[in-house]
Parts: sequence; C-alpha cells; structure tokens
Amino acid sequence: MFFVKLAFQNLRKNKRAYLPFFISMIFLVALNTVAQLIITNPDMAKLPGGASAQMMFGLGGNIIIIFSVIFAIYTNSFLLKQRQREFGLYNVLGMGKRELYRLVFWENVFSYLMSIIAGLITGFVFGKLSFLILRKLLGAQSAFGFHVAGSVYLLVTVMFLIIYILLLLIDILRIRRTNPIELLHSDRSGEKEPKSRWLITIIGLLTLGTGYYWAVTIKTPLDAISLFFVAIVLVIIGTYCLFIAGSVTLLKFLKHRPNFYYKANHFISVSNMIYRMKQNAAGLASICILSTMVLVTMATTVSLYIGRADTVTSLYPYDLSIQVNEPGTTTSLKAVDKAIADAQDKYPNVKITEKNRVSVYEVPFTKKAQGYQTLDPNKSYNADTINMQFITTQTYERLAKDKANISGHQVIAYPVRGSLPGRHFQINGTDLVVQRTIHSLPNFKQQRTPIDMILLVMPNQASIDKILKAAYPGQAASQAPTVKTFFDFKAPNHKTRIAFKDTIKKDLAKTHTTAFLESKDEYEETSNYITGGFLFLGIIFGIAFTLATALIIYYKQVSEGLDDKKRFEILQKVGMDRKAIKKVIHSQIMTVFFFPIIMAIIHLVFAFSFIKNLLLVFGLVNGDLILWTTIATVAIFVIIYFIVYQLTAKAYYKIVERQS
Amino acid sequence: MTALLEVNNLKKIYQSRRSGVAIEALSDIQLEVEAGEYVAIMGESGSGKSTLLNILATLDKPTSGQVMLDGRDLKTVSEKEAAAFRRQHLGFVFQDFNLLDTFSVKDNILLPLVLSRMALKEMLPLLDQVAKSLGIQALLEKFPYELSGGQQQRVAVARAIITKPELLLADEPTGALDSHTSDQLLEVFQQINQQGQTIVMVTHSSIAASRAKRVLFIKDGLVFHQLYRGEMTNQQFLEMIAETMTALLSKED
Ligand SMILES: Nc1ncnc2c1ncn2[C@@H]1O[C@H](COP(=O)(O)OP(=O)(O)OP(=O)(O)O)[C@@H](O)[C@H]1O
Ligand SMILES: [Mg+2]
Repeated sequence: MFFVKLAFQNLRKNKRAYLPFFISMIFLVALNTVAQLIITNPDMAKLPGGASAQMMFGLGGNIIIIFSVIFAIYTNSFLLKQRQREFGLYNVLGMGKRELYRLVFWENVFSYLMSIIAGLITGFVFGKLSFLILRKLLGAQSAFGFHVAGSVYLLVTVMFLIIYILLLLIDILRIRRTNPIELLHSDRSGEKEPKSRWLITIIGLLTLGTGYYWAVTIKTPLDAISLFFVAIVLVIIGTYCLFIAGSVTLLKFLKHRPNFYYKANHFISVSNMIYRMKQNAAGLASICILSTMVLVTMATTVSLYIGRADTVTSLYPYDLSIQVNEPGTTTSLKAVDKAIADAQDKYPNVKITEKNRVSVYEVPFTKKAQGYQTLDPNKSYNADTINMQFITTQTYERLAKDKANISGHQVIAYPVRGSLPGRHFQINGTDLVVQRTIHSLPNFKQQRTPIDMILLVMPNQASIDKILKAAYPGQAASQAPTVKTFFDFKAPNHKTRIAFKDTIKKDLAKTHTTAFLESKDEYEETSNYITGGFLFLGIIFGIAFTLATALIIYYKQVSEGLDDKKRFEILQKVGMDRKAIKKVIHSQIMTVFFFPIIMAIIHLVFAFSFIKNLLLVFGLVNGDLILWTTIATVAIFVIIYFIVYQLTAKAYYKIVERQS
Repeated sequence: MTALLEVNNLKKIYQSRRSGVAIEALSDIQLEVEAGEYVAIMGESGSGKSTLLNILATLDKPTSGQVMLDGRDLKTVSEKEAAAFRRQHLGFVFQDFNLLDTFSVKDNILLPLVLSRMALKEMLPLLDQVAKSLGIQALLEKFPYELSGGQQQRVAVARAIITKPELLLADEPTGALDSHTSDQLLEVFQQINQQGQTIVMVTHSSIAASRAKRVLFIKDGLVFHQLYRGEMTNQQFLEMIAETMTALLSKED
C-alpha cells in the first residue's frame, strides 16, 4: 500500500515532467482508437472499391501502431531522464532497487489507467468527428454510418497494455543498470565531449547522396515504386547519420581551427552546439524525417484530391469508350451499335456527341538503342516498355481530315508519352522514317498512361501487317485490330446519365461479346473514394506526425532550457553581457529549429520528381498543379512549424532567463 | 594614495519572495581597500561574506550604500555595462567554481579573453603563464567533469587572474584544496600580489588569512574587527588571527 501511495504522490508532484508524457500517451491512444474505428467500420467494405480502401486504411493503421511504439519509447526516455535523480535519491536514502521497481510498477499502472481512459474518450470524440469529415471527402451516402465496435476499445486497451509493459521493462532495466551515484547525477550536465566520427559521417553522405541520386534519376513510375522505397530507406539512414555524426564532426572540425574558434561569437556557439547536437541529434533527425513524411503525404494526397477531375479526363478522354478486340469483329460491332441505339431510344433526351470509331493495332515493345523490339512475353512491363499504336492512312485522313502523304518506309509519329529515338528508327529490324511529327490527333483523344506510348500512322495495311508478323512470328493470321468506339454524351441530370450508361453496359453483357466498356462516370466515382480516402489518411498522418514533431520540439526546448540556464548564468558572471547572450541563445535556437525543416524541404525537393511520377501512375499529369500544391503544403507546414517554434521558444526563454 | 575600493554604509536585505520574511545579510559595511592590498575577510557561515563579494563584483545590487571602484560609483554602472565592466576590471573566483561543462579547461580559462576579443597569439602566452603558476598544465585538454574539486578550483582561479584584473575577488579559493595545493594557490596569490595585484579573499582558513596583509572579521552584517599584519611573520600573524577567532567565538556565548 505504501508504494501505491508513494507512486500516486509522485505522479502528482512531478506534474511538470509527467504532463507532456500523459499528453503524448493520450494522443497515441486516441490516434489508434480513431484509426481502428475507421478500419473496422463495416460500412467501409460496402463502398465501391471499399475493399482496397479498407486495405489501405489497414496499412495506415499498422504504420500508426509502429509509430506509437517508437514514440512511446521516446517520450518515456525523456521522462526517465528527468526522474533518474529522484530514483537515485530514493536509492541513497535506503530504498533498494526492488522497492524502486515496485514504485515504478505502480506509477506505470496509474499512468496506464489514466491515459487509456482519457485516450479512449478522446478517441471516441475524434473518431466521430473524423467520420463526418471522411464521409464528406468520400462523397458517400448517409448509409455510411458511424459504428462503434467494442472490440476496438479492447484492442486498443490490450495494445497499450503491451506498450506499457514494454516501458516498464525499459524503466526497470535502466534502474538496474545504474548505481546510485550515477542515478543522482544523471540529470546533471557534464557529459563527455562527443567524438567526431568520420566513418559514420561518410556513410551518411554516401547513403544520402545515393538516395537523392536514385530519387532524381528514376524516370518511370513503374520502376520508381520499388526503387524509391530503397531510396527512402537510404535517405532516412543518411539523415540520422549526418545529424548524429556529421554535425558533431563538422563542429569539431571548426573547433580545431583556432583562428575561427577563438572568436567571441564562434567560441560559445560552437562548443554549445557540440553538446546540443550530441543530446539532440536523434531528436532533430526524427523531426526532419517526420516533417518530410508530413510534407510528402500531404503534397501527394492533396494533389490527388484536387487533381482528381484532371486525372479522370486524362485517363478517360471520352465519357464512354467500348473496345472490341476479336477476329471477325463485325457481329460484335453490330451488338455495340445496337446497345447504343437502344439506350438512345430509351433515353431520347440524352445527346451523344463526338462519336467515333477507330481501328487500331496495339503492340508493346521494348526500347532499344536504334528502335524497338518485341517485348519478351515472360517479362513484365518496366521503364523500357513502350506501347505502340498503329493506324492506317485511311483512318488518319478520316479523323484528321488531312492528307497523309506518306509512302514506303514513311510514318507520321504522334508521341503521346515519351519520344522517338530519332527520325530514323527500326521496329524489329524494319526501317522506318518519320515524315512528320504531330502532337494531337483530332477526334481521337489519347489516354495518358504511366508507360510510354507512341502512335504511328502507317502508309497502308500491308506495312502494318509486316510489323505485326515480325512481332508475333508463327501466327498465321494477321493480328486483329482493336476497334474503339467512343463518344461523349449529355444528359439532363446525373441520374439519367448513370442510367444511360448502365443500360448500354447491361445490354452488352447480354450479347456475350468481348466488348469492353470503360465509363468515365464509373471511374469518377471510384476515384472519389480513392482520392478522398487517401486525403483522409494524409490528414490523419499529417496531424499525427505534426503533433509528434511539436511534442519532440517541446521536449527538446524544456530539457535544453534547463541545461542551458546554468551555462548562460555562468557566462553572464564571467562577463558576457545579456545582449550578447540573447544573441547566442537566439541563433542557437534558430539553428536547432530550422535545420531539420530546411533538411526536410531539401528532401522534398529531391523527392519531387518521384512524387510527380507516382501521381502519374494515378493518372495525374498536371505538373503545375502538383508543384503548386507542394509549394502550398510547404508554406502551410512552415507556418505551423513556426508557430510551434514560437510557443516552445517562449517556454525555453522563460526557463533560461528566469532570474535566480 | 586614494583607495581603489571604497565601501560606505553598505546594506543588503534579502526579501524572501515566498514567505515575505526579510533577511538582513549586510547591515552597515564600511571598507576601504587600497591598490596593491591583499585583504582577507573572515566570518562564520551565513555572516554575509559571499553577499558582500557579490555586490563588489556587480553580480548583486545593494539595498543601500555606496561602492566606489577606482573612483567610479558602481551604481552608475548600468546593467548593460556590468558584464563588460566585470570583464575589464574584475576577476572573480566563485565559491562553487562555475566552470562551463561544455568547455575544456583551456577554453574555460581563455573564456574572458575571448569575450574581450583578444587575438589568439596574445592569449596563449598568458595561458601558459597562469597554468604553470597554478600547476595545471597537464589538465588543459581535460573537461571539468574529469577534474577533482580542487583541480576545478584552480582552474577557476586561473580564469579569474588571466585577465590581470584591477581587483581580484576570491570566495573561499582554498575551500576545496588540501593543504599542499592550498599552499600552492596561496603562493600564487602572494606572487601576483607582489606584482601589484589587489586581492580581496573570503576564507574560513586562518592559515589562508595569515598570508594576507589585513584581515577583516564580519559578524552580524558589520565589519566587526580588523587585524593588520604590519611587520609580523606569517606565523605570528596566524597566531594572532587564531586568537581573535577564539575570542570572537567565545564572546558570543
Ligand atoms: N538569494 C538569497 N535570498 C535570500 N537570502 C539569502 C540569499 N543569499 C544569501 N542569503 C542569506 O544571506 C545571509 C548571508 O549569506 P552569504 O552567502 O553571504 O553567507 P556567507 O558568509 O558567504 O556564508 P558561507 O561561509 O557559508 O559561504 C545568509 O543568512 C543567507 O541565508
Ligand atoms: Mg559564502
């Protein structure tokens, strides 16, 4: 009973040390509750594309769990550092380590109960709130309700029980490893001067450099996804190495330059910064990484959400497109025409425009130095894959209402995405000459794809057949063309639009043809769920990471303030005036604060081309939109960061400047 | 010869913020120190010695009274100038050393010179000199946390005397030293005093005090008694100080 009481007293007495810890733990509990409430919502699966959205949220939930464990350990270590002196005192005053364990055990029990209760309540409130936001973002119907499963609370409770047990073990291990004198002095500064570590610095430079290089040189998104993951890991390793070892190494390098070092303003900042970096490098690197994550997630998800209309048009140039791809297409085409005509009869007030039908041959190739070669059927698409579309001069002339005027080896090239190797190139050994290049083809708008695509107008059917034969050797009959029928349509209202599209779709399904229908409206709907879901995840992550960043900054300020206070007092006594001290404090704070965010922005700059490539996979081709969204994201984040800085810097100044 | 330091009717009252109780640390101090003098201040714990020294060092402000250093009233030294004033005119050995843990011993000693923007070339010979006289050459590259209390104290002394201040104020500079190193330190003080350095030293040790030219006894916030060495040897002076101390203590009962 004694320990229970003492533990409870401790919590109350150490409010200043415990409060940030509680806030962090409550925040983590609430965050996980919200995440789990969303993941387990049964209505989610009912949405179109809901399964994939649920998987996405599940992934996000797991990331949040990992993040929670790491952040809980970090917060706890900060608390432990502040409390070690107290433990030392108890130890010296005759409390054995066993008794200390018991004390820590009860403290953790109380701490757990308080944070789990407060966290679950907060989580419930914010869960409800975020559901309303999510529903709005998804544009989902009211059927999408807020469900509270008891299992969520149980899961979170158990999860944090495990986390607290982990923290308790860490506490016990720490107490066990130290002797009372060390415990007593562990919060006193006077640590060893850190050593410069060239090896780690060089490793940091190399990993960061390689990561950056990869991030920038990746050209196609399909390559990007796997490689970029490696690049991210490299950049994270590089950041930690450089912050931890590189900063100290650089400062020590400066320190060993006497003519630089023994100057009034350098002298104090350099020696102070060495210690600051030693104690805070990991925290600063974490701030940098977290900030980068916030920036990348927000820039990506907001771009996707804002640009979703763009995406839809670039992926679906027409409202409806029906592809038929089989030998003897005439019957199928008749079925297509009939389906459209029937739908028209049923909905006479729907107006069809821009209707057209094009026969086109599509073949994937692999890029070679001089031209293209048939894609190895056993290989998957990669950065060197290119899709070629071949049409005849007749088709071209009908669409473009323009004379083709080509013959022999001549072609008209339309590079939809990517470019040709030159005016002369080969396809499987067949020489071709680009007679002219065009940049659009009237009445045949092209879909933007993540892989390269080139449309070639060939002089006649024979020249197309020749290429097809070389591309598919051993196939007797010449390849059948894909016949694309596409059109836009206007309907008096959304309901008619959907009904019109559905009628055609159902009709075609009944005819058992291989007709493949793509509807812009259908895509738009799923796209809303996906981009809305992503944005929601982005916001949750953004808030979580930003709060984590703010908390780390707060911890740093308070712990450093206490250390620095004594130093600045001494400096003042020895004859440094207040103004100069203020200047040193200010420049130190600025460096420590803005170093991570500047690094984060540099990371973002290098990640930008990847972000663009990644968004291309989702069909977002509007580069300007991505750029401006990213800039706006950075601006907003810097403002929030600056506000956090202002608030915590005030706390720091208060501690440092408090007159004794 | 005019006095380098002149203290008139100095009073210091500490107002406890929490309880509102006022503690009179110094009630009415009269004191004159001439250039080149070596004065020791003695008194029991809590008698206000550190308080007096802190006021002389412009680290604290008196409640009333006047302190003149080299003809300048310390009241006219603004808060802004105080730091530069300390750096240029005063050296201070703190009771609790006040070394910076982020600096090596060498950098700790050089700190006041660097703050005065002295060129590195000029600093190093001065450093050599003080380090040798205090026997801390071997410690220069170490950090304060690696030093014993006595070593730290010598470093603090080195930092105070390296600027060759007009007035050296030392608060129990031998407090953490054994008799041997304490002798060594007192030797240094005597040496620099012979070279013209004015010293005011607070001490509990009669031996340390016996090296000074004059000893002041503080009690109840007043300068209670003074002893002059005159022509006495260290030993004679020491005996006299010891006698006075016993007398002072017995009077109390
Ligand atoms: N900041 C302060 N606030 C309130 N009272 C103080 C403060 N500093 C000192 N005092 C009080 O003033 C009196 C004189 O203190 P001072 O430190 O000058 O003593 P001292 O003679 O140096 O003692 P010692 O020999 O132990 O160092 C003491 O009673 C002390 O409690
Ligand atoms: Mg004292």
